Amino acid sequence: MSLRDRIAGSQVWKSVFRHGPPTDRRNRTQAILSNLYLHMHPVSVRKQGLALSYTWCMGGATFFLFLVEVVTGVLLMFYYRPTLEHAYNDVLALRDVATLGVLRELHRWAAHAMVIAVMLHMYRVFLTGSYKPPREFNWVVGVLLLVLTLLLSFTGYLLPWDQLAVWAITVGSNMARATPILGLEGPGADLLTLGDGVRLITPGSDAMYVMLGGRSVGEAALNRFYVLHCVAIPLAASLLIMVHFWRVRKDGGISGPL
Amino acid sequence: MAKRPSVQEILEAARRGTSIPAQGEPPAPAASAPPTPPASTQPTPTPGPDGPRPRLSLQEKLDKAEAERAARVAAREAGAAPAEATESGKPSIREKLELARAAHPIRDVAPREAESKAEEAEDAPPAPAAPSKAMSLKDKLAAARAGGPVAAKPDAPAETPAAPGPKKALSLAEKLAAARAGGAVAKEPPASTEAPASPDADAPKKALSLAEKLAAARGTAPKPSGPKAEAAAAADREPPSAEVAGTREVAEALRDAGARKAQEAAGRPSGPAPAGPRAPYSPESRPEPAAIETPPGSRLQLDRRGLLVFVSWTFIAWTALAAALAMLSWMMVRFLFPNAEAEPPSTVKVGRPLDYEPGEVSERFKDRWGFWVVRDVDDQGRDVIYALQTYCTHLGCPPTWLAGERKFKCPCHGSGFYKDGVNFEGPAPRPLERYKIGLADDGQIVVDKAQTFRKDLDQWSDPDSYLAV
Repeated sequence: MSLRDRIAGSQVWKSVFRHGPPTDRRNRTQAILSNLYLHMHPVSVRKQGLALSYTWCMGGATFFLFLVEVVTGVLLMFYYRPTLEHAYNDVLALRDVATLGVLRELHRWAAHAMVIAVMLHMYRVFLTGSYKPPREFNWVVGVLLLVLTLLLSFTGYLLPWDQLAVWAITVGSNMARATPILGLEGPGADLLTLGDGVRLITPGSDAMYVMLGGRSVGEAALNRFYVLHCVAIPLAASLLIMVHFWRVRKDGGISGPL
Repeated sequence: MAKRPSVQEILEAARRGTSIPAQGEPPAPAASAPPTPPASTQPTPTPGPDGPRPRLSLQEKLDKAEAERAARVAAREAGAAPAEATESGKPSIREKLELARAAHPIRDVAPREAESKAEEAEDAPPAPAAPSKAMSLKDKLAAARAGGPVAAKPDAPAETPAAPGPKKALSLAEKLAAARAGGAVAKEPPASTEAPASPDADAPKKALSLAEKLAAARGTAPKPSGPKAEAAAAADREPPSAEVAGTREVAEALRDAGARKAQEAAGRPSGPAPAGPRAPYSPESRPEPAAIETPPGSRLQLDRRGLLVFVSWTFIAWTALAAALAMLSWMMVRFLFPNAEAEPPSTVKVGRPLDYEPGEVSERFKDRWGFWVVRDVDDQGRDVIYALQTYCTHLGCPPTWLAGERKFKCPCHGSGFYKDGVNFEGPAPRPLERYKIGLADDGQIVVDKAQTFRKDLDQWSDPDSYLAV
């Protein structure tokens, strides 16, 4: 009995892998279906689904980049402190002091690449008409994911807490002030008025104020963006990614003709 | 070509189909044993098989196979040093093949001894091959006869007497081979056809015919003949080997590369195979020995292919991926070890010795640094300054200095310590600890929290644990 057989025949191994060696079709199928991570991928795929020239694999690339962001982001969180005192210095220290100083750059590059990949993915889906019924709902989910991707970039942009970050977020958050109805300077803000000129939308209650946790970009905004960037938005994105993938399977597989 | 596998298949089918015990003619099979490997291995044995096949009965085939196996085992046990046998076995075949091609003329003309000697002299590498084969033959023969193990080397002299016999036997084998295989084999027979006339030859011929046919079917014709024709006669190895080579060359040239590759991949020197190790009957077990015997010309290809296996892009890609992941994992672990600490330094200057009154317990550094600076007279009457750690030795709470009661009192469980830090009440098991203390160049007292001194370990006598005023 070889060592390999002994390992493959042990209870520990069998408790994890419920199937035999993938030497025949049944076991190969089992290897996919009985694995939480692999079962997301169909056991069989249309040839067209594998054609790089057809799918561009941009959806997969986006997901991969998302995973890169998760891994590098978690590592960055070990050192980064979202406070006015430490934020900027911690970012510098991550580059200059910590081992693996390229980590933050990886996080940043992957973020840029992810936005690009999402765009290309949408473009491909559009060109191949893969947004058409019955996939229209998944297109909507995809659009939401696009928004979340952009929001991740936006919130992450503030965290280095340098001049570029502060003023970029200042400009960006000022746009929230133009939100219809909910923005102080947005159209329809006057509609939310009680009685004679008691406005509900004020500089201390409009969309921008909620977003920044204050009237200007300060420590409250930094902490708020940090939580959004590291917890809230990734959670939402993960949820939508699951829905997105699930719908891909349920709607007929990867971009094959229906 | 299409018929290649047929022999093998027939034999296997015969085995499966009938459960007849295989005990034919042990001696004959013994001789044939060595050659068997080629036949067994790949689905493409030799081109020659066509003729002989039909003639063999199932029983015969079974007997043959059984005998071969027995012979192999016997040969092994007979004492042919396993290492020698195995190692020599493989090269021997190749060398024989080479000899067969390059040394035909020599063989034809010269008597057996002369041949062997000449070959040995001429081709250093090929010569050893002959001996090795000889060994296997001899061993087998010996096993068959139950005689003592014969030396494996080309002891031509010992067997010289048998020379006539073997020659005849050879000639027979050659003729048969020639008749059946034509082409490649045909060339060789003429050379060896010299003296079949002797009376002995006839008997061997008949006896051999079966074995030869079988062998021929597999491409190993010559050897079987040798053994059957009286052990002595059979002893002559070289002629048979040459012939074998002839047929084998063709057969092996036809073999597909797959087998070689597999063998190459297995990294087997091919030595073990010839020994005929497989005790069990399974047909699957036999293929390997055949794979071992690859024509010399194919070596280069083998190497290249083998190399390709390891230099393939897939291999490179996986290796690179594994290396990258391993490196990344290490870097991530390393990443978690801070290269810069946010903690305060472990040393702190607490002023000059004379800044402290005799008998004073200073709490200036308790909150931030975690120690009291105490100036007092110790057991030996010396005026000393020491730094007491503010952690109760019970569970680590910070005691309080009660100046009125002249003791440290822990608020958690009531432990009490004298001014020198020795516990006297409550659950505290031992005295408070001291930090290292000393004088800096500028005359200030320096307390180093990196080192502590415990009274219960007799460390308070250490000069670093106090500062004499």
